[in-house]
Amino acid sequence: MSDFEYLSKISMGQYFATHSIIHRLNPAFKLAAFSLLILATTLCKPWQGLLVLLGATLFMLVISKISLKYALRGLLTPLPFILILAIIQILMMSYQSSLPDWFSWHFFRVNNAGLLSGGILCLRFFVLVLLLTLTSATLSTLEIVHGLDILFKPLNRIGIPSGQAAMVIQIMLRFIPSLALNAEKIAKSQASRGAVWGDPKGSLFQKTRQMLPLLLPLFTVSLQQADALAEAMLSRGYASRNTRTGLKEYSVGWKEIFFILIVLLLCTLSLFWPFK
Amino acid sequence: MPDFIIVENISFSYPSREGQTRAALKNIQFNIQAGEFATIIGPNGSGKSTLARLLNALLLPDSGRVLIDGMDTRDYNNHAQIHSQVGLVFQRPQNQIVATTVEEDVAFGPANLGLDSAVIHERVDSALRQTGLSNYRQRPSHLLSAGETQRLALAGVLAMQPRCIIFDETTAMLDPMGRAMVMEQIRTLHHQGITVLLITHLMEEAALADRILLLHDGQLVLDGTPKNIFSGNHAMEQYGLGLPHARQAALELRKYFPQIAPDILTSHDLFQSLPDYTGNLSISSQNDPLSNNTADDFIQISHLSFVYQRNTPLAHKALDGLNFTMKEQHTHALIGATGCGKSTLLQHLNGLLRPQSGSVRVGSFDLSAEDLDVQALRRMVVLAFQQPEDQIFEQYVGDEIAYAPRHLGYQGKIADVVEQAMLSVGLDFETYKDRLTSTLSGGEKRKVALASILAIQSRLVLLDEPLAGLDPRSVDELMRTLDRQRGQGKSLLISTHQYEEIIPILQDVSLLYRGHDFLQGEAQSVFSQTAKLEEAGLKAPLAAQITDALRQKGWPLSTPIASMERLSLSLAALTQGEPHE
Repeated sequence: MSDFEYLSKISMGQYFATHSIIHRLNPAFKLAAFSLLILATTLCKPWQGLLVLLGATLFMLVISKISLKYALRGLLTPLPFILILAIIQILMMSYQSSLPDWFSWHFFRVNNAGLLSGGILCLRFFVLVLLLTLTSATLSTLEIVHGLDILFKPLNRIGIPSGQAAMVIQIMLRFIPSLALNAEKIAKSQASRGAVWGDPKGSLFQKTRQMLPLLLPLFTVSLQQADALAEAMLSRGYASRNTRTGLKEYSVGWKEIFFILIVLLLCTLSLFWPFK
Repeated sequence: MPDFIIVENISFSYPSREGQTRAALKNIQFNIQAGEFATIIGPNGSGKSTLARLLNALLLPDSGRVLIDGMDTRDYNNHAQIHSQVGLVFQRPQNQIVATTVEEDVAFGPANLGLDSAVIHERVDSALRQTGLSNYRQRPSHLLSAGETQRLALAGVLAMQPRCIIFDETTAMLDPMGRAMVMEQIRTLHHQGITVLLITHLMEEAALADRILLLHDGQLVLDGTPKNIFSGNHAMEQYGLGLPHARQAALELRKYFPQIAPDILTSHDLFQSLPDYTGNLSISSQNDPLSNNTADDFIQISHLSFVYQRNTPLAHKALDGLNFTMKEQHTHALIGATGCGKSTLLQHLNGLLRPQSGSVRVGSFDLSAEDLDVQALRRMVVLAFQQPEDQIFEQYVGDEIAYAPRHLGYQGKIADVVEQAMLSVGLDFETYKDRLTSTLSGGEKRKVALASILAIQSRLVLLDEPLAGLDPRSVDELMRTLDRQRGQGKSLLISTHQYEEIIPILQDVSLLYRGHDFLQGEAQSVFSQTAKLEEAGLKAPLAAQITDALRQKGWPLSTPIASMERLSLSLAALTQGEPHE
């Protein structure tokens, strides 16, 4: 019975420390570049643009020394959903189009317009999944925090403290596994006392009431933990007004500049495909 | 030596809900010299932790003042300096970790000081080296064991390069090995000239310091060397504290060996002062009447294996071909170093985990059966997790205790079982049944939580580390409760690191090592195998160690001995001819 293994249910992608050239880039640049690529993939209309993005993603996977087999396996889980969405898309777009049909039966028609937009949909999802795999494989949670810290810096000017924002995110990430562990412990303990979760009988109120034995202690324990952590942080000299330094210092070199320029070029190219 | 900490007549009270205040510390005054190693002892609620927080400027005194190296804690401008000079290591290690990886967490303090990244690197390296965590640099901090997490917390403090470190019940949640390691660290730090303040419930740890401060009810009642403090044994009882085990043993042994000094405090000194055997070498062949109970096995486990997070990159094998049996109406202890699979085993016994391979039978229940009636099993077998007080959720004490009988379908009047359960933990039914759970003290909460588990009229009670973090008085109370349960014919299976305390009520012991059974049998015979216990990362009970030391000096002690009571009996038989005193 693995009903209680909450920790394994919150996997956030797998980081691979292969120390490739991509891994060694300044995390702020990586974070910005991957965000741009994801944005471009979502917004890009022409299929040629998506192909460019697909090529770029595959190329980066290769130079990050991440096994393509692993990356492609990540496509398997969402594949059924993608295919269903694609079929709906094909039928919908074919129905609205006046192009000659390849196939028709009652309302169901298939023609080039439908096939094209179904294909684009598939392609878009493929690139997105691969990009997310690439991001989680080359950016550790810690680098995300450092990256955000650097990217938020300009916000200091308008009074938003970037250091504190990054600290909040770091603590949030740090608390996710411990919340899962606490929930697991409490659930097991209450189950030992006869609690049964998710009993389908009863009104919404009763169902909510059933969850109280889990939620109340979880809140109390989390608050205690937050209190203790705040105390530990203060006693280790944390004060919001400090200018904190860090273990790692990130530099900006020609590699970072080159990387972000290439990514910008690819995004522009794919969004505004000039060759018709 | 100059005084590093000066505490001048301080008082402190916490605001309470009704607008009144609750005095935590009253007119405390003492000085600590630079480089001193002192312990602070006292029962729960005596103000020890409050005092620690006042010394680190986390709290400020209501009256009086605290000077750290001449700096007044009431001046906010001093706080950065004070935080970096006085480090604090807390009880629950996982609550002190800020970052997601080991090295980043150690760097947290130095980064707050605004040091250069190169300097931070150096400090992180040296702190990790001192705590033996150098190979764990990139490890996610939530995947460390309890002992490793506590070492990480210490590393985080060491990286600040403090001149004084306060340990607030740091060893309470650790296994004997982890505890010994922390004490070793403390000794090393002390030798390096760092001022160490250790708050503890364990008198063995207190005995190692140069000086003991005893707090009681917010007041500093005793201040002296361990020898002075522990010489008046009645004083300690009066404050709800005991004596170090070695001192208790020394007092007992003086009946047979009057040459043992009366002021012995550590087991090391005790072993040294044991006399050689001078009697004739007639090996007494009193065969041990091992309790040969023919009762059927109540629990039967064979070849049980279990992997957490199976089929994921984080898969982790907790049990590996474990065999285990337990008899009904016995009290059985489960011992072993952290991570040896004790908790995993307990969770199999009431159906929280199902066997992945191998078989588990409890009474008439086969735990692998598809149609297992889990609720019926849980009526027969209850499990109390560590710190059960964290799981209280009802508003009233009575409802909290009635929850389990209600949900497990108890036939009969629920108020009766609730009353009985409250009685068995020493809570008065009429006084407590309508109390709000949120207004209970820590000790009362623990009792309510225990009652809410005992309210299930089970045949087998599983307890996971019931003694962790309890002060000596609460340990006594719990032992009495457990003894009553035993008297009512219940079977108890107790997983614990503090087996020294429960030996008097134990019949059998199973020692687990890396997920399999390592040693099993009658308690005296398991605990007397000192070498085997050490192999599994544990320490034998003191009585067994003394017996070993006596055997080396020629004493013909043949039977397995693991309790002072038994040792005393055997010595009485051997020294009969030569009366002392």
